[in-house]
Parts: sequence; C-alpha cells; structure tokens
Amino acid sequence: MTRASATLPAVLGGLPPRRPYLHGLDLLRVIASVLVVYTHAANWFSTRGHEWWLAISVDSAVVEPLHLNPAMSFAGVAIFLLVSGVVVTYVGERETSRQFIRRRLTRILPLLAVITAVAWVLINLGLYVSESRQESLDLLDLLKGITLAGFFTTPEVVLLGVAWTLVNQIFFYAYASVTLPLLRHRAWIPSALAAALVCLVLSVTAGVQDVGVHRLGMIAAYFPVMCIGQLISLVTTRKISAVTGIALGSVHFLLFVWADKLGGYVATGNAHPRTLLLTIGLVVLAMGICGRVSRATVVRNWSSRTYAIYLLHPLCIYPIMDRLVPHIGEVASLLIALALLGVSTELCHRYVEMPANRWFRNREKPARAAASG
Amino acid sequence: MTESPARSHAPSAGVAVTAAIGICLVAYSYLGALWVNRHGSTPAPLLLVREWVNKPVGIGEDFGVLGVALLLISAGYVVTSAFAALPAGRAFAVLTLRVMIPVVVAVTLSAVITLGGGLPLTEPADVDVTLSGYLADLLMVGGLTDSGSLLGLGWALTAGAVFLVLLLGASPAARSAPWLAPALELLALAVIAVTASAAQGWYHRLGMLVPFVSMPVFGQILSMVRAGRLSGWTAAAPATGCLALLITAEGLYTDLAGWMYALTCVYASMLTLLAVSGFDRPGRSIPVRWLASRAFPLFLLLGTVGYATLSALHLRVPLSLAFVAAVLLTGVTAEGCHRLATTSGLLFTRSFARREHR
Repeated sequence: MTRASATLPAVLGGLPPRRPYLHGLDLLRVIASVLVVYTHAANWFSTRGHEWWLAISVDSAVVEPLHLNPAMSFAGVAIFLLVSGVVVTYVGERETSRQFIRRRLTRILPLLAVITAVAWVLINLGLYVSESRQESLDLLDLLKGITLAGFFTTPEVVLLGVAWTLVNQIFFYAYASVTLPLLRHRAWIPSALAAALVCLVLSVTAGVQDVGVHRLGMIAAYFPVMCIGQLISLVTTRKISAVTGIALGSVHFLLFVWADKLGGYVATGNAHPRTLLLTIGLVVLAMGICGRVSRATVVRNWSSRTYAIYLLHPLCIYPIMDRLVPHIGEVASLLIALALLGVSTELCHRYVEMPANRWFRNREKPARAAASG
Repeated sequence: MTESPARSHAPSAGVAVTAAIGICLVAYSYLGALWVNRHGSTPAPLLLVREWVNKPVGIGEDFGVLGVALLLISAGYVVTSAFAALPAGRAFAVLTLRVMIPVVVAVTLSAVITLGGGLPLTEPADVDVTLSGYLADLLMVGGLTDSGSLLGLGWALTAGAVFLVLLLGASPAARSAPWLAPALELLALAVIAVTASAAQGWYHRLGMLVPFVSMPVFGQILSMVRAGRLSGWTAAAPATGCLALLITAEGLYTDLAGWMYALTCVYASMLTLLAVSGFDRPGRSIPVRWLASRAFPLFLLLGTVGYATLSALHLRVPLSLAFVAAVLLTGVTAEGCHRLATTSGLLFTRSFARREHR
C-alpha cells in the first residue's frame, strides 16, 4: 500500500477515511472486565462453599429476575466477543489481509505467552490448578499452552481456562482476514458464508466426543457472536442496510440458539441466548455513546488494559483466596487479590503489551516506507 | 435555539417504530396464538417460534406482553410530549377525546357482540354484560372489578389510565424540578405495590398492574431526556427505579412469578431506546406511521372486532381467510375510530383557539 493511496478516495483504491473512535465500546470493555472478574470471584465463593453477600445481592436483584446465568456467567465474555467482532471489522477496512491477521496476533500472543508461562510456573509450584487438572507440566505443555494447541489435544492441556475465548477469536480473525476483500465490496457475504459454515460444522461435530472435533464445535457455537458484532459494525458504518444486518444477525442468533440446544458447548448455565440478546442491545446502544464518562481518561486507560485483566484475574483470585482466606478472611483476601490484579495488569500492560505493540508497529513502518519508495 | 418550542417537544419518529412493532406483536399474540390455542390447535410455525425464540430469550405469551410493554412505553412517551407541547388543560382535553372515543366504541361493540351471542376477547371468557361492568370498562377500570372486563386487554388499559392519573397528579411538581414527576410517580407505585400485595380484591389487582405502569413512566423519562428537560445521568436513577419496581413487584405477587415479565420489560425498554436513538427514517414510513397513529384503537379492537370475527367465521370459511377478514375488519374499524377521534380533537382545538382569540 503506497502513501499516495492513503490520499486517494476509497472508490479509487485509496484507504477509507478514518472512522470516529467508538468511546462507548471502551465503557463496555470496562463493564465486561468487571463482570468477568465478578463471575470468577463469585465462582470461587460458590465452589469453596462460602457465602458472598455481593453474589447474594446480585443474584436476587439481577440474575433471578432477569433469568440470567448464575454469577452473571457469559455476560462479560459475550460483551468481549461482540466488541471484538465490532472493532476488528471497524478497523479492518484500512488493512490488508496480511496486516490484519498480523496485527491481531501480535496483539494477542505476546501477553498470552508471558501469562501462560507464569501460570505454568504457578501450576508446577502447586499454587494454581490448571483447567485440565494436570499437577505438573513439562515444556511441551508450556508450548501447547502458549500456542493454544492444548485445547485440541487428547488429553487437553489447558493452563489458562479463560483462553478458550482466544481460540474462538483467532479463528474469527483468520476467517475475517481471508474474507476481507469480500467485506470491502460485498459486505454481507462473509457473514452469510460464516452462517453456512457454522451450520455445517455444528451438524458434523454434534455429539462427537473427540477433543479436537468437540473444540471445533465450540468454536462454531460461539462464532455467531463475533459475526453479530461484525454485522453491528457494518450496519453502523452503512456498509449494509439495517434490514440485511437484522436478517443475517437473526440467522446467527438462531445458530447460537441451536448450538445451545445441542448441548455440550455450554457448561455455565442455560441462559446464554438471553444473555447474548441483552448484550447485543447494550453494544448497539453503546455504539452511539460519546459522553463525558465514556471519553474519560480513566475509562480509556482501563479499557486498554482489559485484555491483561482478562488473562490475569484467575491467577490472582484463586491462589490468593485459597491461601489467605483461612488466615485473614474473605474480604481482605479479595481486596489483596484485586490489588495484585491491578498491579500485575499494569506491569504486563507497560512492560509486555505496549512494548510488543510498539516493536511491531515500528517494524511495520520501515516495511511500508520501503514499499512506497 | 432555532427550533420552535413545539417542535423541540415533538415525539421522535423512532417511537412510532416502537408502537408499530408493539401493535403487530399484540396482534400476533392475541389474535393469532391465543385464539388458535383456545380453539384447540397449535400450528407448527407457532410451536417453532416458541421453541426457537420465545423460550430461549425468555419472552413469554407469544410476545404479547412484549407488545403491550412497547405500547405502554410509547404511550408514556407520546403523552408526556403532548403535555409538554400544549397547555395542560388543552392537552388533557385532546387526550381525553383521543382515548375515550375508541374506548367507548370498543366497549360498546364488545357488549353488543356479547349480547348478540358473539365471542369477543373478554376477561374472563364468559363475562356477563351488566351496566356496572359496562361503566367500569368505560372508566377503564373494568379489569379491577370482580365481574371482569368486556375488554380482554383491559388490564393494559387500566395500567395506562393509572399512569395518566399519576402524571396529572405529579405535573405541578414537575414545574419546579422535572425529575420530581417520575420520582413521585414511582414512589406512589412502590407504595401501591407494597400495600396491595397483602390486600384482596380490586386493590390487589391494582398492585399487580404496578410493573406495567412503570413502562409508561419509562417512556415519560425517555421523552423528558429527548426534550432536554432531564440529563441522561439524572434520568438514570428513575429509569433504574422502573426496573427495581418491576423486580420488586414480581417478587411480591406470586401470580406474576415465572412469567419473566421483568426481562420482557427490559427488552421493551432497550428496543425503545434503540428506536428513539436511530430509527427516525423507518419511523417516517407510511406503514409505520399508520400503525403507530392507529395503535390505540387497533389495540382495543383486536380483541373485540378481530377476535369476534375470527370466532364467527372460522367454521364457515378457511381459517386463513377468517384471519384476513378479522385483520381487515379490525383495521377498518380502527381507522374509523381514529378519524372520529382526530376530527373531534381538531374541532375542539379550533373552538378553543377561537375562544382564546376572542
């Protein structure tokens, strides 16, 4: 892509104009990060047989009346997946397919590698329990964790349980990068094609016990969520009409309902479709938010750290609570866990995420300059 | 400000979408699903929709309550806009004409059809036509009486009437601080909900309507934010209060439990927020404008004319033809009602203007 193309109108092959920043999605990311931390904190209490006043209040005021999943499970993840679909579609217009997939992977992998390594150490020291229940892990297991290949092996090797969403996201990014040219010229086709593929994969994988095949089924089950995010972006930017967006979105929603009915892909409650519908409404409403709060520096800064929060929070909550609660009680332990989460998030963001991002972007600039020269 | 005060209080075209969707859902639920269920059949498409949409997302009664919630929210929005645009007395008079004419027509038709052996939608199904019952329905409180209502959807009408009473009662407070109006209304509703839960008879039935009265209050809040009388943040508290009231009332009344009314009302609120934010263009389309402006008479007449027509014709003609006839007849009657109400409102406004001019 040459520098000249940046100034040409989009219809003549130039880059599309930069779109306004979606401040509302920053706010949603903050809310989603709070929800996932809350969910896992509440899970700690319920799995260890403790009562938590906050969980009791949230259950009676929100979960039960709105018939959501226990501990608001999936609410935060749904927001993250939807926002992911919105954002990558929103920014992908200005990127080539290769650039698109490179940028997404370099955003995800460095921090994943570091935190997976930390999890590996903690598991081997007996301070953390892996999602797949192994008590000791070798270097090959570490590699499986970093590359997420462990989600497809038999037995599974899953160091970070929350990384299951990254598996889904990477598949979506790969699909989006391949279909990027279609997205620019016939924006409805990638989503329609995705619906057909999801239908096919769900049909083929339903009931199959093999770990790898089941994982593919799980990817297909949650693929519609990111596709709906993509459709929200396309309608907002008027690349497709609202009628087309709603029609395709409805198809994807029904595919999600089907996956839920098939069973085996959801282990955290029976309210996934309701939760998804509510979060879709929230995301669409948030697209138009641009007030003081959504533009606040603290929201923007927090939003940029939500990926680190997402990966780190189980490593902070579970080991700290397990070890400290018998000695100093639940409240103090939870506060220490949250403080540790805050500190580790900041360290990871400053010394892993941002440097990795800067390093990659700096390598991109000479390559772009060479191409234009 | 470049626009006239009247224009700044004009309802958003997007709210017309809400009303249009609402009335279509009510028609599907009551004229479609309820009628066929009560006549012993459950068509496969209905089962499919229930299995794949209603149950997973938690919208019960074949979208009927969602439709009513949408209509109540849009009614609250429109009425609040009207009261803001016109002097209170004139707004009340125009509203009375617009409301009472369709109510009189619908209640009278229902009574006549019932007396003639027809089967309109009443609550309960075998309601007797009495003078007291007829008058109670005209006053929009038929759903609270022991004898029942000639209007099967009279409960929603009563909810709307309660909102109007609260709106009028709270309007003096709104002059000094706009946020006070919805706050006082919600306080009154909370008191009713709590005190009526242990009561019997009409007061208990009134308490059960409280969750639905919070819907037009939500519409009122939305209208005030849109008109700039409330900021988004000031509105957040009473809007949350509407939800809290819904949830509390569901817990207090066993009859309301298990129907997911709170969740349905949340969906209705979200849909309205979306419509008001960005559905202006569809809101100006002719079908949407027609449905929205006739939504109130359509709502009343679906259960009387529509339901009775279906009941009368289904054994004489194919069911699909009976449905078409029911919908058409309802539409024609609603159009007549609307024109009568609009003409009366216009005549009143002109005579009022002439008096003011003198």
